[in-house]
Amino acid sequence: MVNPLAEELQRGRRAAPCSLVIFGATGDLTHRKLVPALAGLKRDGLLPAGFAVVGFARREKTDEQFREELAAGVAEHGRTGAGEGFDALRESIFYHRSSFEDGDGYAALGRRLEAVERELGTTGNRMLYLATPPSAYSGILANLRDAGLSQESSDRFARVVVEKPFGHDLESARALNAQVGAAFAEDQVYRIDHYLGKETVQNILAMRFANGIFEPLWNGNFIDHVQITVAESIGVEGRGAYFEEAGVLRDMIQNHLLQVLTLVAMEPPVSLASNHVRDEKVKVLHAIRSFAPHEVAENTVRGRYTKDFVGGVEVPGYLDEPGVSSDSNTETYAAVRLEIHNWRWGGTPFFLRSGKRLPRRVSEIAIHFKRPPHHLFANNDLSPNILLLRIQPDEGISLRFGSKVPGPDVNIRDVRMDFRYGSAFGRESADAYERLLLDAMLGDSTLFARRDEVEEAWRIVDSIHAGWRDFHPRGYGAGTWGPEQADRLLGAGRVWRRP
Amino acid sequence: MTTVHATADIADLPGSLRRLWRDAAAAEQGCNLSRALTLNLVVVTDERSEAATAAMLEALPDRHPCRAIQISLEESAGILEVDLVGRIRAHGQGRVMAMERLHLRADPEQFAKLPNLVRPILVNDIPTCLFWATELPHSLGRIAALASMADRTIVDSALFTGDDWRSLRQIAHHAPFDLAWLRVAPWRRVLAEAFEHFAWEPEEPPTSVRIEHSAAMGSLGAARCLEHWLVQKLGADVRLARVAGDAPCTEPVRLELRHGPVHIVIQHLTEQALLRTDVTLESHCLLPAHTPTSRGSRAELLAAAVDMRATLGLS
Repeated sequence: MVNPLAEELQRGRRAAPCSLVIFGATGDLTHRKLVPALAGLKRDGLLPAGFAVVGFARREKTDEQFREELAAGVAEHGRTGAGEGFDALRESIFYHRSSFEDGDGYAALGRRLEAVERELGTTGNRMLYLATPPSAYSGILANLRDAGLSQESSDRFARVVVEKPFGHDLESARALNAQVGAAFAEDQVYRIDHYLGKETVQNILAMRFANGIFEPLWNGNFIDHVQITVAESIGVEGRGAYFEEAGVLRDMIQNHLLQVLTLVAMEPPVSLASNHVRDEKVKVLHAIRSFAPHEVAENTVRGRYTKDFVGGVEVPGYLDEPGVSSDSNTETYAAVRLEIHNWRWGGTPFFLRSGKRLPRRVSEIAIHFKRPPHHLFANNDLSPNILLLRIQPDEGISLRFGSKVPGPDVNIRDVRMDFRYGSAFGRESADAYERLLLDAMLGDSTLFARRDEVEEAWRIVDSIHAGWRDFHPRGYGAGTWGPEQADRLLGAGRVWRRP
Repeated sequence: MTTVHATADIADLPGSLRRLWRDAAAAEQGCNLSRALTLNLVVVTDERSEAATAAMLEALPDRHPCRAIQISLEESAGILEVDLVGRIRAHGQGRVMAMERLHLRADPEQFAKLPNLVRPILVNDIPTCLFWATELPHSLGRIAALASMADRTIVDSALFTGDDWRSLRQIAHHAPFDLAWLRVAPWRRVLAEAFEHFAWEPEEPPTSVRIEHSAAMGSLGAARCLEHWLVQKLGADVRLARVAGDAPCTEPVRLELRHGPVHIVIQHLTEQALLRTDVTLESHCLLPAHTPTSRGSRAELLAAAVDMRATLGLS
């Protein structure tokens, strides 16, 4: 029998009843991000009445102790009103103690879930969130499979959410994907990259495909090149040991920047169904060739910040940061020139750059259009039109174009037409984790990375790393826009935007 | 937010609005002042609802930067009077005019003059919304005259003193939207979730529902929304019952649904602002579930109603 009131469950993107099991429930991610996001969703009435959270971790504690710790996390990190949401959620939160390696712990988890499902009416739907260090994934995935917790049926789902990093290189990503695949089918897997949960990243698709005026110009006939910048003003902030293993190429470009690039460059999908969108995204990655080792030097720049003054205060260079080896070969800045070898983008370079200790925290996509074919205004040095998609801060879209300065002479000056989210839609954007958790509960995987996307991105990044083996990062002063060599990467007549 | 006042001339409202912009730019000299209007909002109030509605409009630009044209129907007004203010908020280094608010006061007898005052000052290319924030007039033609220039009409049945507001469906080319429909959204949702736990038979056994409401009009209006919905969806035998208590309340007090052995009770826990749902099935009971009630202020509900795509509630 079909629920005669089911329309209410579909309206407003509210999730179906389910239990959420968080592995690594005592960790930072759970306290700072996941539970505050759940509290926010509950506050907004976006969680179902039949909903339970089961925390899974090694430490001994009671349900009530666990709830108290989470409440403190929500108070510190939750958005306005999240505390009320947590209060409404509180009695539906449970703690299950077990080590990640203990098979019996998973069997007991299964029994606990059945009891919770019966008591709270979560209907057997389960979402399993791996909020642990990647080293624990293997044991958890194997035990979930062995305990039958990864199995779903026609009337109940079982989904797993995996946090980035999805591997360290192509080989380790394939190994991780194989482990995930041994327990879950691909359509059960949600690889979370919180960057895709940002409203303005999602707006790339809306801007391109909900408007008629952009798409006819969205190709190499009209666009000279594209610059994608994700800059951070902070250094490694005590994460030196982690960053030593990653570097900005792995930490930012392999995931955030390449994901953004695919959204900018993809063909229109047949529909917004997740696999239709992801099919088009992965085609973009397929169209980017791996670099031969000798091509890497001319298409990339690798940098590392050195001691300098930021805000009037001297900050240490990367090599002086705690946890960083004095003979480190890790980059804190990377700029990459990529060519997408397809009909739309042939000959139009995409420049990606990301770094730490840059002058501002900013993320943006700058579409640089070609200059007019005929220079009618002879006394004016006309700048190219730039369509700018600002992801953060001050989210919005602006268009730079030339306009006549009032007066008897014909002088052209650049002006800017500006749209700001904050002005047009005063409403606070949902936190990226709220959006992505809700999507996973709804079974919408559009904003999650698919296995082939992850592996293709690693293929490209690995080819750069292979070429970098023989040279060290170039120094740039903390608080500057990166090594001078990055300017030459763009080629004649092009300059990096100063965000 | 800062406020800029401008003198307004009833004979030249477009010119008055231009002056407001000029004065605001002068007041914010040195800052980059831009305009962010996404909506024309025509609001009709009376003496009883004017203050509350003014407070709603204060909060609205956070969600919908707009040109708000507030029409206060006041018998004491006598002749047409007008005030004009701009609300400016800082945004980064710049300033944004987030609301242009024009307040017209008119004797109800002057109503016929109002539509042609409003028409030329609606900003083009953005939606227009009429919010009838007062009692229903004797003649629905008044609403219709303003609704005809709007893309959407919103009412709040909690402000009505009579309960015959379904006649509103007759007006204009679009059915009005009642804010009560949003207030009962959590009720509809938890009821729909409860129906996931059993197999509902459309014919037998019969489904009976009792909805308790307080003496407050808002509570009755919300109960009526639920009644209308349950009759439509389930063909249920729905009874409304007034219970003791006349505290201001804009939601039902309790809902009890029976369908054979299935028994569902939704109780409004007013102090905690929660709905407690108890579901008894043939074989067992579920633990009580708690869901936040609608906690939106009237301004938030109005903002949400402007965003709603479908026309619901009174349709």
